[in-house]
Amino acid sequence: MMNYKIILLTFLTNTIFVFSQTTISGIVQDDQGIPLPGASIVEEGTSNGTTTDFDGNFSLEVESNSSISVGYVGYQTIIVESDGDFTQIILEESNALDEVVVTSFGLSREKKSLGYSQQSVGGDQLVKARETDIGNALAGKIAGVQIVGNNSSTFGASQIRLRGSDDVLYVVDGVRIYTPGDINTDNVADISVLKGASATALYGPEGRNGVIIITSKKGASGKANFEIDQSIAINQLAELPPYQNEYGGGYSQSFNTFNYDPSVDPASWASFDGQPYPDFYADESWGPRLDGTPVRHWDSWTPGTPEFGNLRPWVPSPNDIDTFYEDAITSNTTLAFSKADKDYNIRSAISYIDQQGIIPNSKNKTIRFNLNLNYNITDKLSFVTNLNIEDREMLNNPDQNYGNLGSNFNQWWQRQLDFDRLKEYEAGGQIISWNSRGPRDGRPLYWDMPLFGSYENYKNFNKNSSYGKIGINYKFNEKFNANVEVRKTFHSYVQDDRGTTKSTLDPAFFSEYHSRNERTDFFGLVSYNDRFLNDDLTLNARLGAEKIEETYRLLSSSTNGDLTIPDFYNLSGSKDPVSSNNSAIRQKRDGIFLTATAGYKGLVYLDGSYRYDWNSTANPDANRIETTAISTSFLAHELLPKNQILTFFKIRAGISEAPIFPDPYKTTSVYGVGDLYQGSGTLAVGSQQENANLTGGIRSEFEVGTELQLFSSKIGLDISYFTRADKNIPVLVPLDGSTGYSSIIVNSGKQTTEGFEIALDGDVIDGENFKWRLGVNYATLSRFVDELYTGIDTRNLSTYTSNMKLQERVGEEWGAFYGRGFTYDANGNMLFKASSGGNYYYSRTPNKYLGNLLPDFTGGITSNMSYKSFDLTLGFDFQKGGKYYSRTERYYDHSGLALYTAGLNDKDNPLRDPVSLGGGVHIQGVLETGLDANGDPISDGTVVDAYVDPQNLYGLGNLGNIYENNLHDASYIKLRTVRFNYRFDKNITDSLNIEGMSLSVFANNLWLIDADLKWVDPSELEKRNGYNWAENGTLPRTRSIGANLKLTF
Amino acid sequence: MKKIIRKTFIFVFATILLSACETIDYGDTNVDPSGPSAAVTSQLLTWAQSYMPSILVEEQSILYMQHITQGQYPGSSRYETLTNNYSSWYTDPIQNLNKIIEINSDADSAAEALAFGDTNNQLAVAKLIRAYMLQYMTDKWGALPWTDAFQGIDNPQPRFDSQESIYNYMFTEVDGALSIINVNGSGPVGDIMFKGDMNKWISFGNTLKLTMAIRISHKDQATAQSKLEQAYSSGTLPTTNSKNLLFNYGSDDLSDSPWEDNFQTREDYIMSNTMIENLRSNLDPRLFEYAAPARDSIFGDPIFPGNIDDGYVGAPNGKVNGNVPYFSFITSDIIYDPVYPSPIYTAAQVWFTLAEAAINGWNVGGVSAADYYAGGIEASMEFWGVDGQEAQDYIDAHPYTGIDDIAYEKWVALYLNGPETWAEWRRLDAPSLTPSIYASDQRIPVRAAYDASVEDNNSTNYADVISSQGPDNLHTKLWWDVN
Repeated sequence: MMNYKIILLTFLTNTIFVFSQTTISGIVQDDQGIPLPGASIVEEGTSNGTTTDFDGNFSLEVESNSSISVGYVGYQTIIVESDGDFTQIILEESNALDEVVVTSFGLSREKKSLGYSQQSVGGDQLVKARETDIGNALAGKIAGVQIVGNNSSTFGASQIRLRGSDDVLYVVDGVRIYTPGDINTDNVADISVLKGASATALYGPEGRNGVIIITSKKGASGKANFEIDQSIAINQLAELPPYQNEYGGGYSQSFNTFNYDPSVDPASWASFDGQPYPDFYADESWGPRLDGTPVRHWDSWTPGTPEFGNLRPWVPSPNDIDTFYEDAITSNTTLAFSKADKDYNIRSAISYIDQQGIIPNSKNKTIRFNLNLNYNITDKLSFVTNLNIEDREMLNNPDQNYGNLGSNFNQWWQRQLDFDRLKEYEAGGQIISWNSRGPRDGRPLYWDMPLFGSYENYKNFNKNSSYGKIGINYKFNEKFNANVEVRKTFHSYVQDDRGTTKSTLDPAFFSEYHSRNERTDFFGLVSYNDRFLNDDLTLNARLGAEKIEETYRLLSSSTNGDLTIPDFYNLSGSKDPVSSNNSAIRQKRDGIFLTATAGYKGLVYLDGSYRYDWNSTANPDANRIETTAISTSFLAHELLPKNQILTFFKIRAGISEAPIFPDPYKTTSVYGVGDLYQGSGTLAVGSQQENANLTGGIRSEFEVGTELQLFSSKIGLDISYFTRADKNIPVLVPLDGSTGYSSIIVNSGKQTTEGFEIALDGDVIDGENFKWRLGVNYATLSRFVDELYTGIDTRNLSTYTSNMKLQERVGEEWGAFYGRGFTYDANGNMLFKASSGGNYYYSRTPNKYLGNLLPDFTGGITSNMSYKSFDLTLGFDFQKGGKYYSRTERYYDHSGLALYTAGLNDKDNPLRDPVSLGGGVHIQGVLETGLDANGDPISDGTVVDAYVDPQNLYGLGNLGNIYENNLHDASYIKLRTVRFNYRFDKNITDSLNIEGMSLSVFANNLWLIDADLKWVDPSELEKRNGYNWAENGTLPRTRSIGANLKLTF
Repeated sequence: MKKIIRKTFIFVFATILLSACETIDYGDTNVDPSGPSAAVTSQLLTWAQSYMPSILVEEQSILYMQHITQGQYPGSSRYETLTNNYSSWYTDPIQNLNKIIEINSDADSAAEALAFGDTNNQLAVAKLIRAYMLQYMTDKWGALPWTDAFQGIDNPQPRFDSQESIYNYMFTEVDGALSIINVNGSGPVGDIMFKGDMNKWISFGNTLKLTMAIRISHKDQATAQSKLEQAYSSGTLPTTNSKNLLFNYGSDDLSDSPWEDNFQTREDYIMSNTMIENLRSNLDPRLFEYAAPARDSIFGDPIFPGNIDDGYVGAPNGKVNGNVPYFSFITSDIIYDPVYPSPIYTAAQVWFTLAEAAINGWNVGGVSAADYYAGGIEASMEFWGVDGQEAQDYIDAHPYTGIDDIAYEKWVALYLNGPETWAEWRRLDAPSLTPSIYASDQRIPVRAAYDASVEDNNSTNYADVISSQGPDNLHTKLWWDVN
């Protein structure tokens, strides 16, 4: 209480009596006269500041005769004297001479002083396409940044991969958050991407793979600002695989004949005797030709329904798969309020996103609340807090795995099915399906109706999260400053899943899953700034410490056997004992660091940092890791005569280390507790061997780069090269099962990663009214496995059976695909093995090298065109090389759905006709006549030139067994975002009595320009075991188009 | 204000002090609370026993043996599984059994484990199951790491033991276990197989010994004869169906029969025409106990009097038999009853083995091979619920003529016991089975190949085992497989 009074008194004294105040106001514009919203205005020598509003206006109360510094990301910062009048401030686009960027711990630094690569994206760039996903918003904008892993038809968030790793640290206003899905793109003022260890050294173990630092918008000084931002977008199916429409469902081209059996069939069925019907139980399309023959379809066998007993023609589907997917609306509303004055700055925003999925009955509603507050208690003491709250309710997040709808339609389907007739899944008091077991048994065999899952097997997902901090900053004097913060991140998830008691296909179940993540960071920093040698030498030193505690708790329970009460979904309804699992993962970490930056005459900068980290996950007798980083920036143009060609030339280099600690619970093992078996408890020896000696390890990295500005800064070029070595870090070593264990984590092995990153941007046209700026970025990455563990040379990263494996192998590039492949002789002829009935099998080479996951290069192109109040932005991204595995394609062939499994052969006969009648697929190659010493097939050169039955050829046992056939090139180029924006003139907004108004039309995922399989977007591949390497029943990719209206009051 | 300044300085000093710490003590933060660090031997035992159904209902070998075949998705019935991974047998059940043996071999920990049964009985049961599983494994892969196994990272590349030495080891283990069983002591808690009935374990141990002995009889006749005679003279073999050793299932979904799980939502397995046609052509009444008539269509070609086999249709092995309603399924008791037991050792199997011992002239009670053979058929018929007169009619119609009759009857009687049928078929080279004509390699496998990871991560020993055992493929004969 005592303290509070003092603070309050100080506050009153300072604000009312001490200072002679004046208000400075004005507008901040670029050299084209376009207002710059969100530019920062700071009173020199103080922390008093504000930002400009939507129209670039600001007003700030300052001490008389003080000056303000005006800055905007990408523009030069200037200092303006306050004279009390309204000031027009023109900012020049930055030529990197004076650009100020956000670095570790949110510290603003002049970009020229950085000895490592750093790239920023302003918030206005991000929200151009009104993208709710921060990953997509960043796609293609920064060299070395890739976007991975979210199919556009699901509600999941994509991830950002920096220098090949997506285990990236996200920091919002100083708070480390769990997932990029927590970020509200509407609130973002600036994103700073720090890729290398030199840049992220201060973040310790968590920063090793790069850090994305997000700075939220701040309030603008002066009158209260109120913003409404409303967008509506429609998300639509973009692409389906090409299907054949010549043959319907079935395992063979003949219909079955109904044989009336009076001992089992009702007398009324006697007239059905002799009627043809297809193989309802088949979920493949090798059936009869769709020639209009009248047949008894699946829906003609349920007594009491209108179609009962009817014959209908066997024809291509009048309402095909595309009619199943809905046009999904997303509405995104943000209300933001802000106000600032000399002593405070407040911004609060609330967003509501109501998103539907393209799969019926799927939705996702998110409410996000956000509050940022800065408050100067005295001129020395300030207080900062921020709070972010999210509530999310999701119903039926579309599932992308084998067995879901994507798998159903594209892997296992009857091509002639009419979706209009598949909507009802109950008839005549029973569950019906197109995939019935037969005329006499209407129960589904493999598949329920497509809508059955959406409307019966509900999956709910709720998320409640919050993150924020409180902190105080005390400025002792111009040289010393201290800062203490407490940060907290909290997530709680509740999910449930159910299988309906109505199902006649699967036993009913209900499961519920609760988890929470919690982390608390205590952080303190003391900083010291000084100048020496007549201000030629600047020094900035910081000593900091942090203490982090993390806890993850999980409780998941599932019914077993079945549910005993119809339509009652609760664990208590379980037929057999409920299976439950609860666990806690705890981790504690401490770190201290010292960092210093010295600059000499704006010509050379030197950065050094020294850090200790302790972690509870390491061997308790050796749980400290010591790391250092040093980097330098040399501004070569300072030594050159002033010229218009090379205006800026920086060379930078750095050597750094990052600590890497083991995951929790690897130093001691416990017994695994299993479910009850026959009423008895079960316990198992862990399959991962414990390692009491496990310690942290060090990643070392070297980075060198240059930044150039050419032709009066019309062209900018940024080139980086880095190489990193992970040596003796905790790695998982696979053990042969006969050792009693399947793996162990040891400090072992060595992997080397290197890459180039190049960003080029420049003005293509820089006219009076029309401007066109183009940015291109390009990055390469290679990772080599030098060593795993003595005698152990291979590790599976992820597999689909033993026939398709993603591996790391000693002496090879990381991410190698090994599996069952085609066999060729020395002349490149395909080998076939003869089989009975005139059939041939593709010869198989087991464990063959099939390619690599890592692309040759990745990159993006950004184009910004503006004409008066209009601007048009295009964002492209691309990848060359790399591979992915398509599991869908394997079944799409096998099931006779693919376009190429029908049609004509090279004799102009239907290839599905019997080979004896001129049908069949033409195969050419040589005959397998034996095996070599390695067990691989060899040929004596006997020619194979034959026509073979396509159903056999494409079957799982033949071509389907050559997993190499479904490995595809992951190269793509994509027009990801387009936005066309119009900013209303001032006379219009004035007449409406509002501050500003803009209207835009945008599109996301607009055009996959080129890809190996057009229905698979390699940038949307799902994750398997942590790697985006395979699709497994992918849902169709989508595109969205929408409009956005933004009003400022 | 002073407080803040003071706190700042405390912070700076604390930071400097902290930097002097070599380590920080985090207490038990890094101990996983989700599992115990001390073992309960009864629960380790139950876990290990829960792997028995993986042997007793191993589809791959049943498909090789053409008791059944597959519907729309032929795989193993076309011999498409080119490698099998042995790892989980080591890391899961056997590692648990090792732990039980370790705990009961140390006086202090054994005393603590007394609550879960007599020390020697716990040891004996763990060793017997371990030997049983090891026999399954070696009969599948051949040579396996054993002497060097279970040393974790201390020996990541264990050498392989030959099948011969594994068999010698197993005989020693089984004899050792049988010698320490204390029928008056308490049986192991958590023994869901025999509920702690040590007499059943004695019977299990002796039948295992009998089975191992006959298996090596073509290779090491002396050992085989001595071990088989010991097993016979123990008087504990299950010679009547009431003494059969069965694996009983629980009724809940996690403890029930794997067959019930297979057919709960799918219909992937159908009767093979090899089994159906053999039973039909021999007018074998077990046809109606093994199989159910086809559900939808009838391709009848009845042979039985009264056309009672009309609708009993087997499918071609390895063909894509998508229209499963056209074919006979396994009898509904087995595939739909969650608690229908799986036989481990039956009287029929013992009788056929004794019949073979009698041919060899070994001392198995002076009963003739023909009598043992007839007794085996009778036991099998009784086990499957065939009427005694029908059984006798069948025996009369199929008199004993030699070893191939025993092999054929064993193949029939071991219905759905894949590993044992496969092993005995390989050893006896009868009955003659035609490989699937739909296979890309039309040979029935005689072993399983090691997973590719063995070649990758244990390369020296892998090369050694190939030089001693033969190429690592499905067609290299095992040590005991003489012809």
